[in-house]
Amino acid sequence: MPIQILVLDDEKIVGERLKASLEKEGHTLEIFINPVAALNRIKEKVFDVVVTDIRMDDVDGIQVLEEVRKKSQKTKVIMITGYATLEVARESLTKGAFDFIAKPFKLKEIRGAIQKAEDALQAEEN
Amino acid sequence: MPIVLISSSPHGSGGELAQNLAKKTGWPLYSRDQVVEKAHETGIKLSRLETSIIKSPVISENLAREKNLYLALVTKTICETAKNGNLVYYGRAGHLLSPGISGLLRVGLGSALEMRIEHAMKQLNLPQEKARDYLEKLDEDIKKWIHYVHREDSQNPLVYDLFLNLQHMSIENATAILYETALLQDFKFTVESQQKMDDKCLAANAKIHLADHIETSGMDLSVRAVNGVVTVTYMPRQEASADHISRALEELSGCRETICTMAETNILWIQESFDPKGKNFDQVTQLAKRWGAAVELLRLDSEGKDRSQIPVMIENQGGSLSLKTDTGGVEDDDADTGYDDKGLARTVEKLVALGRSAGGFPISGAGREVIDAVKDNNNYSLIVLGNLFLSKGNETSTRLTRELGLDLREKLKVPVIASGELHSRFLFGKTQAFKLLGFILTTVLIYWLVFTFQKPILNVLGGDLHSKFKWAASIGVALFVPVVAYVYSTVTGLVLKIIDID
Repeated sequence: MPIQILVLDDEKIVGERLKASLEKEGHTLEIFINPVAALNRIKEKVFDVVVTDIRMDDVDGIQVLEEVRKKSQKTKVIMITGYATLEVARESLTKGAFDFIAKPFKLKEIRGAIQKAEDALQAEEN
Repeated sequence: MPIVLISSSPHGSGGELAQNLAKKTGWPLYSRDQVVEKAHETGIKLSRLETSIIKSPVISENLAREKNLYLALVTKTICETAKNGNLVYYGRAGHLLSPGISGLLRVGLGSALEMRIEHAMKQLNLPQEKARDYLEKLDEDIKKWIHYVHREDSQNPLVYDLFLNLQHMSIENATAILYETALLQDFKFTVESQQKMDDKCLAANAKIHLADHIETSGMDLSVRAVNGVVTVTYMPRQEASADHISRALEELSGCRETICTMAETNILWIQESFDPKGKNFDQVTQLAKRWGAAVELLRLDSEGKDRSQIPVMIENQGGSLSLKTDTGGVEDDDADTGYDDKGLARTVEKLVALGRSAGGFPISGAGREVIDAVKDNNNYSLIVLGNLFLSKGNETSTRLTRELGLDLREKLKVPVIASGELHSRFLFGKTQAFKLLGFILTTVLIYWLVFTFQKPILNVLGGDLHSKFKWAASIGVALFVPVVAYVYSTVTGLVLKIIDID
């Protein structure tokens, strides 16, 4: 089932690489490098999955997670970061993140997490 | 020279206490958060190590290299920050850093969960129940971290010099207690502990240099430093890269001399399939630890399915620390060959984690192919044959394994043993303990009989009985001497095994 995914990472290359890999699976992606612009888009539209970096200038990934939760309980949020600690990972999961992936990661890891999110969405619909 | 290492729970009062102490004394303050930041700058994949604790304990074993580098970095940071003589460090498992060095004050703190919950609620903007759940789960994660990274039980009171319960004590009073304790003679550095600290720092620095050098980053190396002399031990198959080690350590400050030495002892373990959780694995690694040996794995495919595969040595997955790549941390997938390596890679990784890996590789064929594959690297002190020729049926498999063993022993001149005999031949367990006891009793009995009944014995050997039955003495001696020799040698053999002399 193709799903709507928003990817937010202040490194442009991350969005580009995820787009190339996930669009092959039939998913629709919107890529953002500016967290404020991404938050505005999240307020406008309910995405199936949001993939967000944690450490960014101005807004951090936890704030993005909180905004997504305010807008929709259905959206699955996957956190990605190169600066993960147990404390941050546990905080994200407590605040409702669906998954947490530490950088550097292989593309198949993110595809696996998206697949799990997709399965969870389908299970919730049924 | 007080160095105070404070272990603080998340959302406890460790940070506040450490800051107070640093302010009162003027001693430099360093936190784990700063180490984490430094690890990221250095290129250590600490994120993967941290999240693996939550996501999968299996992944943790694959991250042995990151774990060792993280510990080296913490050691180096503590040594460098404390070079003027004082330091207050605080953070997760702070008390377990720089083990084995006396003169450090290792402090544990106990804070009320309710107080920590309140702090987490405020700082993380969480409702009470979520804050409780967050802290309870995080405490569990930290227990696992301590077990995996420091190989220590988080509940062990012996790892602390001082434990303060902050439930009924103000931070000011706790600071005063810490200050007075840190000034005690027991927590002053001696010349010996200073030397140990310097050596630990030097070894840690050497590990980071080697990991940062492109030619040495993937090598399985053991590093130690004694009195400013750094000794790096590498595996025999890495002999060609040995020159790079000296080059990588050329700029190492504080190093008087670098010695590169090749590991002397290797155990070659040949099997069709490997299981790092199996009994054989435990026995082989136990023996490797006793001998200080590295274990090389050879996966033999007797059916020849691997014929098309070029034998590739599986080694520690290194990679230079210079991780500033242009992929943003999103790496391409490994090529999926669909190839089942029968546990070879997992077992090599576990050996790497234990510091006993000499690599591993698959080959197809039987005796001749095995000899061809290992003859150029023959520095083995033992060859262990495990499950082989499994598709051939029990009897044929046993015969072929025996033939392979004889072939290897003859051509390589190395002792060969079946994995099933490892325990009885080289290790000491309950069975061996009972055997030792039985044989000691038999030896004592023989000596007691000989010394108690000397008269009749001498009679048989040279007295009246001897003159009547001359043949009896010859038969008696012929039977008695080998029995005594066997019993006595068994006892000495088992005793030598206990004291690690095989």
